[in-house]
Amino acid sequence: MLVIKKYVRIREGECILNGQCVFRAESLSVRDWLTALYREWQLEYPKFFKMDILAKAGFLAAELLMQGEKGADNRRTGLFFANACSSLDTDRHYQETIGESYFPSPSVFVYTLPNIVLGEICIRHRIFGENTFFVSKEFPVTALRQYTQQVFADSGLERAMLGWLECEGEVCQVLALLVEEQMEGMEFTDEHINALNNKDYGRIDGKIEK
Amino acid sequence: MGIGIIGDNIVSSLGFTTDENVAAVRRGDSGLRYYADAWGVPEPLVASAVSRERLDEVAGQWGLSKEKYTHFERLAIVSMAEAIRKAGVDMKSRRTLFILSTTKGNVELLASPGNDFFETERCYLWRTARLIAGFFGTVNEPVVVSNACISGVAALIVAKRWLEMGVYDTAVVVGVDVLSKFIISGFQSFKALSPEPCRPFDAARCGLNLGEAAATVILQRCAEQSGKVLLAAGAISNDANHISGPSRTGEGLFLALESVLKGTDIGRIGFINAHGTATLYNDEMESIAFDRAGLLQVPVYSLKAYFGHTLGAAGVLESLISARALRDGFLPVSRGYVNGGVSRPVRVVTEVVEQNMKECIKTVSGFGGCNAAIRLKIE
Repeated sequence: MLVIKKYVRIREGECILNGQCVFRAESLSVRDWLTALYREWQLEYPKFFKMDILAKAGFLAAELLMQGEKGADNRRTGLFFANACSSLDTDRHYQETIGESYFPSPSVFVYTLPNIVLGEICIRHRIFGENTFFVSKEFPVTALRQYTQQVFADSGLERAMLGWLECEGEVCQVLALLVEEQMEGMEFTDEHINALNNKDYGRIDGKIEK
Repeated sequence: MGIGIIGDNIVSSLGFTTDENVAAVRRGDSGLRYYADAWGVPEPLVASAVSRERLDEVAGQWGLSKEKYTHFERLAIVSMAEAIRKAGVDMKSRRTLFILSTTKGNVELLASPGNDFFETERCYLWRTARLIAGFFGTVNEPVVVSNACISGVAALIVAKRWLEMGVYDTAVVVGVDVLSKFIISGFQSFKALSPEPCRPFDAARCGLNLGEAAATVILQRCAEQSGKVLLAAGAISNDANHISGPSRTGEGLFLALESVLKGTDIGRIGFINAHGTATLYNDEMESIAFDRAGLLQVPVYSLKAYFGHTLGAAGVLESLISARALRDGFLPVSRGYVNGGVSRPVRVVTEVVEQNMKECIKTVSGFGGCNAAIRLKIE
């Protein structure tokens, strides 16, 4: 069966990895918060600083999910993500550069596509499989789950990363799942995805364990 | 059983029906024009634009006012409405899925936040998808695929999967993008635009031309012998190499081709309709991928010098022209090509050839390192 092997949830300044709060910082802008998480995890990937917030958030979620992961054939790893805002945050930024002062920048323009985050994740983890980006007002839990299952069934996928990646202005909401075929574990169902997305983990104080 | 094309329509610079567009391609007409001063960009450009006068006329017949629907939405609805009418699809059925493929939707509205008619919320792709769906009274939430320049082919693959799951009986896929200062300035900033009509695979190619279009494909499960063109296979892959440049080894496209060639013989493939944007790197990368996949003897053409690069519409529009080429038995000329300009000896089509064919391949590649291929067939 397909199981949710790992999950990352980012919301309201808090990052949950597999039920554990691994990072929390309040009263930071989304941009600064993402950088703080990057530093907390002592990641070394200078390209991170060129990314827009959508790509940063997706990159970090994938980084946490893939820590210690090996073994799957990366031609058989798929990425299926959705959000409501596509790349509108960067679209607005780019629009400012083509107004009265006209200096369109290719390095901004390239991020005006929501699937660029998937490209960044593919580059980082050498993933050659399917990468598809959907846009939907709400997290399309059933549609994304059904679609992912179908790709496993019809193209021999071994691993998928999927979920919701909404980054616009000061909103950053992520639920990213690592799904694989396994004998046991948390079954890949709508109920489980909704539970992970909605669960109240409370405020975990004290030392944060990675 | 297979997944077959039971309805279609193309609205582009070359016409407002699939028949008009196919006839124009067979004649060798191009929709590319020189624009000295348009879309608010400081440099002139060659682009392929839909006739505003004709759009007003046709949109008027469907009751689509300029005050209520944006240019993007009117194009989408006009394209879909004719396809749906002819195919007799029940859009209000729970068993009908609507998929919108686009890269930028109504992004031009960002330039005029105080617009008299349209709220900025219209820039959200889900919002414009719901408005288009609302015109047809669909009950299911629309699916929006936004995967850069592979969006259209990706949307066809997504549709195929949904139909194979048995969740829906019919999928209506529309690919749409419109010209705007936003998109043109971005491609100009990349120095990706050719100052002349583009020349895919030619030695003198120097970039792409942009275009706008709305193309609709209606898919259903069909018997293999139905006489319909079938979407036999599809695959999406990534280069894992660069976000704004194609792989030097054509890795992602090669993997997609390898996948769609499973279950057939290369001898059955009548042609490849390449992405063929006419940028130096894209066409070179494609030639490498075709070589690696063992496809160098298969005739290749690009449609970009007819329609420009229509972004999220391209995969749907070009697949439809290819489906007609397969059904009617002809190879379109790869317009703009004279001398070979890629490192592998691809067989670029230089004159219309009439011949019976069983299968063909359509490829696309895009920013983010994404690639997709589909294989069409007719029995």
